[in-house]
Amino acid sequence: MAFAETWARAFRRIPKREPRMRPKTAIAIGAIILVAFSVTIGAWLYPHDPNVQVLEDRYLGPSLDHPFGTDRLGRDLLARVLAGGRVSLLASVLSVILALLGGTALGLLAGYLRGAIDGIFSRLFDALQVIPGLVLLIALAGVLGRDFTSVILGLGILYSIKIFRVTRAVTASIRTEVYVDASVAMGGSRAHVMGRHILAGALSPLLVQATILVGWGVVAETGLSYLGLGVQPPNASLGSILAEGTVSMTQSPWLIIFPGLFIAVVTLSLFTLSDALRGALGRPIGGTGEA
Amino acid sequence: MRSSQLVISRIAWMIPMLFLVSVIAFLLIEMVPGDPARNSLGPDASDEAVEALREQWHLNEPLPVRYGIWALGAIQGDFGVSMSTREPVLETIFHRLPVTLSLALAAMVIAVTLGVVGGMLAGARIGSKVDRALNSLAGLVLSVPDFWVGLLIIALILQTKILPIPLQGYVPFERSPSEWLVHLILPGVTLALHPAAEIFRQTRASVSDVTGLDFVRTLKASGVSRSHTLFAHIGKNSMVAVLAVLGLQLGLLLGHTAIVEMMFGMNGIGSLVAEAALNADVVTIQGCVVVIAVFVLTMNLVIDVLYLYLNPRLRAK
Repeated sequence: MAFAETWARAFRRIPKREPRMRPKTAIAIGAIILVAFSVTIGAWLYPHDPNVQVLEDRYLGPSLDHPFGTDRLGRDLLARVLAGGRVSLLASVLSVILALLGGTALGLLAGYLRGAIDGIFSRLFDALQVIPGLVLLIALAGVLGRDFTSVILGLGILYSIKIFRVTRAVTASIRTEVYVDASVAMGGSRAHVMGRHILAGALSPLLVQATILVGWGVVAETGLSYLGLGVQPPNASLGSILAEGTVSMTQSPWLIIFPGLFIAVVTLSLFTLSDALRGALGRPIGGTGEA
Repeated sequence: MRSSQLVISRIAWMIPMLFLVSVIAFLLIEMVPGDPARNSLGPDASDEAVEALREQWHLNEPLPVRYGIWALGAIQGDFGVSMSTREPVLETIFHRLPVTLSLALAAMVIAVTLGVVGGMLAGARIGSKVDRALNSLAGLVLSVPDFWVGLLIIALILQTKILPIPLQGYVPFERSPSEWLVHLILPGVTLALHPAAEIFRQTRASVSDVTGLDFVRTLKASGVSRSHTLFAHIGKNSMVAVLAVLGLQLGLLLGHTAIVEMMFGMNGIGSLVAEAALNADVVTIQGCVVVIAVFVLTMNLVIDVLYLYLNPRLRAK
């Protein structure tokens, strides 16, 4: 009896070395995997084509055959949301990758070398930030044409500013560390120091920032395509689905409810994940990066 | 540094910013694929006509000269003529500016009211049911597109007819102040959602910080009522932080006027820039970008000055 009690108490006292993942985080990761699977393999397995019009099946409510219902041309809404979601996510992820490449390189150079290069890019990005993000995106879509590449380029430029800021701030704080001095004293080249030591330190905050940006990218792409400035019909995009659904939203509210819920699941999961990453990796510098 | 010096340095900072914004706006037209003169006249125009237009638009001059010509015009209020309507761009912008200003004002008033009141309620009792409910709500609002919530609100009102307020359009203040106000409610609420949530978070955090300070305990001990303490003392202290958030949210708010104005059928600057983009009307886009940037810079200056006024610690430095 005493023995068992001692063991039970001891067992309870053993501190868990790995803090367990919070259920919220697990759900978020699960949702992200589910969404990624649905818009790729899921959409391919799904029997309905996003662009096939079945005119006798117009404005059907949600059912087993059409889980999200059908739109004004009898197209299956779930298939269209998956196709549009794929476009949104792809645009968002690609633009964040673009921003990571450009923003990180410039941020490293500006934060480490400082001087003129820092002055020029910091001022330029300050000025770009005076123009509201969505206005800049709209302007670029108007100038470069209304398609997928313009959206990626626009978002890429916009998010480079955020990545630049984060990288520059982290670089400026790491460059005074003793181990950086040591590496320089041992004859490490600038490229070696920036790549091996400073970039390594910037990775965690960049990962947190990038996760948030992917979420905002989906929202921004939806906004642009809602205005008709993103991917053009008949190809599905979340924004154009919403814009088309607006016409008949009193009779068929599912046409605007489901696409929005899809976005909400994506962004909510990504923000929850970024919060968890921030907690696990330490606080990053800089705030959220909404467009 | 004295506060007047601080203000002057802020104004001086605006000049290079304005210059860079104008360069960015100018470069927009350079980024259009193809020859602008050929684009404007169409493929059937003769080479002579294209060449004449190139000469007229100074397209044969080097880039810096072209920028100089454009910037000189812009300073004098000549942003060129719209490529789709052939009307002077600045005239159209000034005609539409009151719509966007009214909308932005309405959104800011709604955002500050909701955010500050909610933030005080939550921040005064961190961890309470009210606090947790409001905090989750703010998180949720920040995770969904604001225009989607706007669409849902419109759908709900159309469906239930509970609120007899207009869903579309804009009425100028001069014509009818009451109509002006009711037309701004829905678009204002839609636009205010995200800033309200951000202001809520900031107010909540600073109220809960201030609540722990000595002077609050002294007030409590002196028998000052809870609500008086909250609004007259804690609230005033939190305003500084709210102002900072408002400054950060301003660009976001102005950007989203594009979507909200299109949604609610309002002819403002936001919908102007969106329509111009749909028509590939780069001259109008340029004008809008410059005017919006000037507005953002001016508002930031106003917020900085207010910041100085509300935060004596900054003045003393």
